[in-house]
Amino acid sequence: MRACESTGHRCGRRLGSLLSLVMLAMLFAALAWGCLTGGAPSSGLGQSVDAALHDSGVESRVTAVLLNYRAYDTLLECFVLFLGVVVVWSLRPYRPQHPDPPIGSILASLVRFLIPLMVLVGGYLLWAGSNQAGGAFQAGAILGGAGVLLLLASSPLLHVLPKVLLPGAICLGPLFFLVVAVGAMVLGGVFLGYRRETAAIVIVVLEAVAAGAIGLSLAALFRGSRPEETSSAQARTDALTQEEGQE
Amino acid sequence: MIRLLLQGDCWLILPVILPLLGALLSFLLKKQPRLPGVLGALVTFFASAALAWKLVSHGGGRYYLGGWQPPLGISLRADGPAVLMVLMTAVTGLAVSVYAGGYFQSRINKRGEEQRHLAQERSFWPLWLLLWAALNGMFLSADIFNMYVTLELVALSSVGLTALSGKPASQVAAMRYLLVSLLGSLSFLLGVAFLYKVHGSLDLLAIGAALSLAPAVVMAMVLISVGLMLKTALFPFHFWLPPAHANALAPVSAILSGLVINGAWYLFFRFWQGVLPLVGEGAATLLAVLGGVAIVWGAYQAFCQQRLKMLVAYSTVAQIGYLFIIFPLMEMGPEQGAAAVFYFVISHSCAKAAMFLAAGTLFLQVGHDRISDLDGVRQVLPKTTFAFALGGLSLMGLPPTGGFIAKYMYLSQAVSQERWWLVAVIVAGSCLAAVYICRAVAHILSPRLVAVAGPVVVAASMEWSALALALVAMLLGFVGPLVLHLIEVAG
Repeated sequence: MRACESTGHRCGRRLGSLLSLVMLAMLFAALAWGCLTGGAPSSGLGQSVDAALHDSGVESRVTAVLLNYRAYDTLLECFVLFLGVVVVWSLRPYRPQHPDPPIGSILASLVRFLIPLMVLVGGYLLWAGSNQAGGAFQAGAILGGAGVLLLLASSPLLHVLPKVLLPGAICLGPLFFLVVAVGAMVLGGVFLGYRRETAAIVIVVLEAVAAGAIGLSLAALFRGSRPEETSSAQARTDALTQEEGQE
Repeated sequence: MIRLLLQGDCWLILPVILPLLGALLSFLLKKQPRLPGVLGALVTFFASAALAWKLVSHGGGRYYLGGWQPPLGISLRADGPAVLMVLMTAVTGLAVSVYAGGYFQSRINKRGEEQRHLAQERSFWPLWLLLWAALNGMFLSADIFNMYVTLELVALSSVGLTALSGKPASQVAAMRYLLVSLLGSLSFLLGVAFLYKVHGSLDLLAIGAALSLAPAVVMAMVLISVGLMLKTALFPFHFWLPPAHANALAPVSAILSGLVINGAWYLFFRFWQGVLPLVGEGAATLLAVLGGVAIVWGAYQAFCQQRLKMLVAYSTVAQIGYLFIIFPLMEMGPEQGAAAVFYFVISHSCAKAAMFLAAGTLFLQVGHDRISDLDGVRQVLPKTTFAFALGGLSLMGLPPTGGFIAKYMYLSQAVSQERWWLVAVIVAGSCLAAVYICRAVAHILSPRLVAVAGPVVVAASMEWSALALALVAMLLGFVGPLVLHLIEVAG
């Protein structure tokens, strides 16, 4: 009886995966049909982006789109990252079963060697963003990687930023962006409407602050739970786990 | 500054900025998150009301962010439906915020685990205010990529709120919700990419004006529609909704069922508004058939449930059907059709949120929500049970509630276009709703005293806010002309 049931179960699962395979194939065929029979694609917005470039304050098209023409999207994306940190911090802290292995000397010296280089590359990408490929998100990703390395090596550099200030530092990116946007509205009348003369400096400062906050948020996401909770709330978590078991 | 507020169009952006600011503050003030949370909700409510007043007195308009005109920049659009949705979010959102304040206080007071409840509240306020800002941004946006960004914010914050209760059931439901929601978002994004490839613009009005039935556009519309149907939980994509909505914390259930569902549906409506004249009868009828099945199946499932919150969640599955049976009716008279469905959306939002809030109050007082064991709870919590019953009346569509006006408009449209099968579905849906709601109400209003008659542990604000929302749902039965006037303002 039980064998029969399990065979049926397996059959059902195989049927399900077959069905999803067929549906994926159909989706692929439909996408190909849409792509191939669409006729000539439109030229996009490249020309109008170039035409307005001298008013945007930067020379890179990508940066002009991200931080001037469509800065509202970027503002909301900064809040997406902030939201990610809030969500991860709202979940119950994860405690590994085994203690972390001791940090090897290779990792420690690698970190000493790599961190200054990563900060340098991040800073360069940030600066390069104003006239070529680069910008806040790329620089933030490198800084985030540096943060992950520091966390892996439990580097003493982590204590440079007191844990009390961490939420404030993570907020700083979206908050500063919002303040700049509202400031532009109060001074010039339009939300996110920078003046042409000041646009360049505003964008560079905005990118620098955003890159720092992005790097910090990415490292915080890697770390997981809210820092001050993991040690002090150990007993509470234990009690909670027991209670969940009873429920 | 005052001059700016009086003259400028900045009213349009305020309902997005203010909750964002509130979210940051409530995240920073982690010892007292409730104060900036409730204040943020209050300020957002007034900004939304001011936007509605501005719309009625000065007409709709567009706001070019950064001063860049489309297609280069992003624009916001205020017209009747958009502002009505912002207003609906403001009314339901304010009531939920007041409720949440009392809810977390009662939970912190009730048992020994105050640390856990404090941690939940600390995360609730930033998540909820971010969700509110994203919903407002979604309603006001006129740019399809910006819609995707707001959709992402809504999805992520809803998932965070769903998982907040920490119970295993809610964690599983939240994970499933996350996967479904991501699939929907990506499908939507793929559709947006197709539309940009064909039209070279992301402005919805420009795309709508140039729309054709080229293969790539058809593909784009299918991808966008399927993605949004997944997020709206239209039958047969409803499987993720009941566990996610029923296992969340009480204010979260009200937010998810009363507001988040409407957000995804609103985008669906905006896209279909332009396409509908092109696609003809077939596609609209297919949507209506799915909606009709949702109405019957959701009602049947609601009737079978043993738990009150599961019953209310399945009733959401049924009510979503009404949002989709409108599409065949809109071919003849788009304006009347839109008026009917938006009336339905706002009255459902208030009624459903009130019912979820009331169910949460009962749960907190009694300690469970098994329908058969709730006999006599009326004697402990009269206001809450009254709010639940009143919300139920609006769902059934009995006069003098907002649900009645909406269903009356549906029926008159269907009769005048001689679509008898839709008439049958609407009437049957109302009867089925009456059956499952009466099943729950019969127990909670029963004169027998079986429920634990201990001291009242719930805060007064929890009872009053649910009652106020239920009264708004009833009041919508009296202010019909006012609301219809607002809907008809053009963008």
